[in-house]
Amino acid sequence: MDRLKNIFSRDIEPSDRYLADESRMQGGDASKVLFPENSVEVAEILKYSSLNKIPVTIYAQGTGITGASVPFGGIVISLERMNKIGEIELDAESGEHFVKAAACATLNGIKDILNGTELFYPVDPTEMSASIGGTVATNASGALSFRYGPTRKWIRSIEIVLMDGSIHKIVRGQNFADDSGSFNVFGKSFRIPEIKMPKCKNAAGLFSENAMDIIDLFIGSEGILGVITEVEIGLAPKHASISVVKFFDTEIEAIDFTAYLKDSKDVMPDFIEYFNGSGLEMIREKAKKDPQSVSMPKISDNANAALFFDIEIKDNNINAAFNKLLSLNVDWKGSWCAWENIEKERIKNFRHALPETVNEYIAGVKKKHPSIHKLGTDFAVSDEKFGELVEFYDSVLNRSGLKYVSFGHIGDNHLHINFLPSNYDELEKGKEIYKVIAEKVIELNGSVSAEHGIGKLKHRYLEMMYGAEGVREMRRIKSVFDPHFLLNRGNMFPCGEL
Amino acid sequence: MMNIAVLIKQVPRTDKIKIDRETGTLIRKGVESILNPYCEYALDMAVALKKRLKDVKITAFTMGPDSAELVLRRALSLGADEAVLISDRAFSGSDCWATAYTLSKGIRHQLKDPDLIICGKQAIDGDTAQVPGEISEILGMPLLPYVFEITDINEYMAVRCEMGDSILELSSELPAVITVGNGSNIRRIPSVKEAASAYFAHIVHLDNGIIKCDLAQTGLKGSPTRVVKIEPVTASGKCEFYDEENLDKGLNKLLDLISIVKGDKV
Repeated sequence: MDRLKNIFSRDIEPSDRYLADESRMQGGDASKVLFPENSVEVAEILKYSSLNKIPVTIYAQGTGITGASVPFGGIVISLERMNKIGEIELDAESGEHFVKAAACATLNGIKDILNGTELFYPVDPTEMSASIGGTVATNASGALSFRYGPTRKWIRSIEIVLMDGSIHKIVRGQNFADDSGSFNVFGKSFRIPEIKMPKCKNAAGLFSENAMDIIDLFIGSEGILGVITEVEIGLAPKHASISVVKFFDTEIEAIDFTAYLKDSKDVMPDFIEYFNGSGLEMIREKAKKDPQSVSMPKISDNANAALFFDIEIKDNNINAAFNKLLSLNVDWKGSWCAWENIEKERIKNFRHALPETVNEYIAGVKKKHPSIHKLGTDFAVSDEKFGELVEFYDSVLNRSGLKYVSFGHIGDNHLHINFLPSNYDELEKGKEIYKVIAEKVIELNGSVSAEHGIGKLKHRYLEMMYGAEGVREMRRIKSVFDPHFLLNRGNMFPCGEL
Repeated sequence: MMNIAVLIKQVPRTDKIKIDRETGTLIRKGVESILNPYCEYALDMAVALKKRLKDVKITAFTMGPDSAELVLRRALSLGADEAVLISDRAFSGSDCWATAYTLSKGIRHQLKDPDLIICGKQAIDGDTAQVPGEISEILGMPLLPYVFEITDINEYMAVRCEMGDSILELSSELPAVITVGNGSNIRRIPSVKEAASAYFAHIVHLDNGIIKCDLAQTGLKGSPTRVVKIEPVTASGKCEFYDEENLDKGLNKLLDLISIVKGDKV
């Protein structure tokens, strides 16, 4: 009890910072913010909350865009004091290097630790100030997931604190669901969620698979089962690469070239990123207004789509890498190639210029129409279904007459369609289109959220994807770990009144 | 055919570099080297001339260790036709004067009589801005500094130069040396094919066995500069004006000043 008193002596009244996140979701409310310094203190708070039926919301870096760390009542646990990153270690058995990090360590912090080594952590969401715990909770990913997979693939172990105050280290490869699909862990027996997972990049809902590892249930669980306090991440060897941007006259050429690139066995890109015609036009306009801001070349007026990808330089043989590129059946006129870091950084800035410009646009419209917010898709489908989805995008978006840009992780069949509403009516129309596309994605067995998660903003899409029965299954799992539905309430599915 | 030499330098990325507080020198270790941005502008100007005049050959020169090949390949990818690396242990430690002397020997060897030598106005690591002027002196060519536009080029060349707040219009005979101050905001980029060709290209290596410098004038030994102190200076802007009536007086004053600098009577 003394320890609890000690923790509560450090509490504060919640400032706005702890009541909102990058989703800009309104209405956040909590009575206290607590700052535990270790997992034992987190356990004390959770035990206290369980006993007194107090809802708890976990806050780390607040970079999520689905409202997952926005509290609606109860207390907030900010993990900000738990941000230590350990030394780089070597797993002698597998030969893999790894590093341990407390939940609130940022991806940038991890990057800094690895600076000057030959290693990197190959999970690259755009927001590198995200916490490692948050990225595990949402199974985050970025462009590199095309080659390296999402967060899930790199998590070797986690430390998790459950609502009963117990602390567990879960090491990958030690506890699997049995033949009947049941787990018997932490004194709890339960069956894995009976849901059908999409066969594509996915961050929607709980994970389920025959003979699955218990660690995978927690990864991507959006914090609804327990609090992740420490993570052990695997590291990959760094490699030199050549960056390429190829401009195309039509979007269809870019999409065809993506399929060709994915099929070609010799060239394995680290990622493939896409920009559509209206996206390029938006960057052109920005470059006209503010040439310094983008430090980029003039984009040809004929360019109506572009792809950006990196290929590995193996064994320091840059000539071999160039030869591979030249062996591809494509006219390299209208391309932009970089092998030095400074130029590669310019290409990266070019990649980021589009989402940044979209954000600036929305901020501009917001001045006139305060209720306008960003509306972007996070849908993905399998390779086989992507062509059909693209055709659907074209027909439904063109018919709508709405302004939009499309860009992102085409290698994973995962494009972000960002609507550019100029008034509230257009935003509402965009939301309707969003729903129509979501229905199509589900029809194609895709995911309604490939990397951002469901949070508090996309409940209905999770239900559309897995059905009411699927969501019930996820609620069943939650009730095993959090019988009173107190932890991160409202993430993934609604919790209702206490 | 017009033969253009573009002189380029490999410099550390100044946005990543740190300064050793004790010695006041740049910590170059582990810092990536890049093509000096002003040299890229110089190369841009050469490429623009090539587009205009067609029959132009651009040869990029740099002096440095073998690793300096990288900036030559960058120059090739951005439009240089040939690249020359002047490299010899005897050249290491060269100051501006020894560098200008060695580069001049290399240029003479490779191109005999170049029509035009284009340099960046200065390198972003040393910021001395001395080498182009010294090369013009050594090779006996006029120097046109801070050029941002070549308005005419034939046997003569007319250029516009940015001199602080004013624009200076100069013309001169060819061959000449020009330095380039500012470039365009719109950057040129190499395509995959251009980058690959640059990587596959042969780079000409010139050592002292080939260019035969007077070793007393190269490397550390041949470098008269001693850095005593480095401090920022501000231009005083103090000018003496001579109108048409006093032109002779002005010219004589100028010749006197030059003779003081050069240590002999002009």
